[in-house]
Amino acid sequence: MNTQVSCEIRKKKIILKNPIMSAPGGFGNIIEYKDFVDLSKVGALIPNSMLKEDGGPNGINKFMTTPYGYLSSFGPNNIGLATFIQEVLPKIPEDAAPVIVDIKAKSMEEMGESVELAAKTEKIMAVEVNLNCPYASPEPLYWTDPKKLEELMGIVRQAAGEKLVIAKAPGGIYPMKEMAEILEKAGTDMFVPFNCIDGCAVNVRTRTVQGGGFFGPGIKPVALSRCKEAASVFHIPVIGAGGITCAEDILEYLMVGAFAVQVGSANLTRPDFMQNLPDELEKLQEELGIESLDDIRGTAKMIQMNVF
Amino acid sequence: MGKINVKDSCILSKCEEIGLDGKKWKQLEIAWDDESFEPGQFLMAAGKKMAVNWPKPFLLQEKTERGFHILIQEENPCFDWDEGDPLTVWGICGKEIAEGVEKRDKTFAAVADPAGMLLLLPFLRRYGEMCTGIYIAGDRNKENEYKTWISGALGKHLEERCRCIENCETFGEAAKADYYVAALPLEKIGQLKKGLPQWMEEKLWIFTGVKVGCGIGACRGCYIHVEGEKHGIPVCQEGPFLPIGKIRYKQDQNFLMHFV
Repeated sequence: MNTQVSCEIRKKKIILKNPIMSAPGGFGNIIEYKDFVDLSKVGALIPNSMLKEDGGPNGINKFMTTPYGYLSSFGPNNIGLATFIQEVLPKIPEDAAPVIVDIKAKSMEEMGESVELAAKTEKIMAVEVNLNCPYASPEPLYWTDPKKLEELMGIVRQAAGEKLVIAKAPGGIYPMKEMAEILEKAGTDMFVPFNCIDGCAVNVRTRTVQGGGFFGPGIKPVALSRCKEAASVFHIPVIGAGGITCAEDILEYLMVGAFAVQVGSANLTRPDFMQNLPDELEKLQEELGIESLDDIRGTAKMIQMNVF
Repeated sequence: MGKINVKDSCILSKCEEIGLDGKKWKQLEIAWDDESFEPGQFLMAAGKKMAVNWPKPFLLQEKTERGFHILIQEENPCFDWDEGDPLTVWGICGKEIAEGVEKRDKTFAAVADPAGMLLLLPFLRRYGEMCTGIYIAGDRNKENEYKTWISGALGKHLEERCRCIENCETFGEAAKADYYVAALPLEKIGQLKKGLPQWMEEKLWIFTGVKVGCGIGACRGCYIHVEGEKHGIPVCQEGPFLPIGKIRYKQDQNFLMHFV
């Protein structure tokens, strides 16, 4: 069985060992997992989302579990990209899967600087631009204004040079068709159509409410539907993300058109989760007689309801 | 692979008791075949019965021939765990309280509210003979009840050293020992800090193990501010007990209010 996935971007063939990537926010800064997961076993590795500069704890409850997912409000609670490149990246084993960095930024300028920094770093395969930008700002997000989105992605494309540029959808609902046109025109190479949905939780003892992005298996049907829609709207490869907990979930995403998938919350249920997932995927491929994962991309047929 | 084991395990036995706060708790014996541990350390355990099995941190109470004991309070979503249930377990996580205490050449005093006492039990069980006093921040009318409970859980010798304090502000003055351990909710920590002489700030280890996500320092869910650390520290690696002088309660109060 062949677990590889491939696609062509700007006339170059991109091949991943398998379609499994870690999702930003669900795999620490990679290095913490080296004792639990053979980092060469997956298709690509994405650390926690990063601002350019270092951040610190945000003083609130950053991780709230619910029966079917979790609410996350990490804010700037991570090392910055510069620190990651200097201090963490050199410690990641040489044979590890390619590294992609997810970048968040407080302004267009900062996004451009971060992308440029990542583009200069040989060990980074691609940059993923978090479209929740400007991040944690009272200003409207750039994607809400087509001109600003165009400007942002233009800056990103220029700063990235030859590096692959992945755009990650903002949280919540967004106009996918309009966004696709702008992103493709700006030279975006791949798109992740789902980020999270907004949620909140109330502590009835303290009578306080806290919001955050909702992730996890509870949102998988929504995220899968978004992936299916994106695969039909975009002409560039789409990366599925949202609630993946097993190999069958991965096949679902591929069959609605995803090139690859990002796995986040499942890593928080046990730290060696990604160690077993590629083997589980290969076993399922064998069971279902799937010779090549590239062959099943977008093959799921829509069942239409009978209209009386 | 690695220094922290991830294992498929199960619950070997259970017994139910009533805690010092009047709430139900379960003592579960979890199968585990290696490692030693120190009081204050914990393991992460996730059940397998739910659609999504989020792990929770559990203080290691004591070693048994077949594994470990942990305690679960009735408010914990894992309270319905039962004998025979399969678990995924990883650990040992965190650091022991006041490194070097195993030499048993230093005395300590403990302070907790009735709910927090469960968090100090491992320490009191292991080093009870070095304890100069157990201070329960609770209702003075219930002092005899508290003493009876302590006697049952820890022995007669510790019952004699147990007393009730209604205001934690008096703890710093009353307790005399080489170091101190505490498990208190936020408002009582406020009282405690008011009456605390500065020299005690590095000697008082306080429970901060509130909301641990992954247990390996990766998810950053448990990061708190501490003096001298730009990025903060993960409670799951450096805690769950930390010297009170290091913790910035003002900055982290909204996080630390989620106590047990």
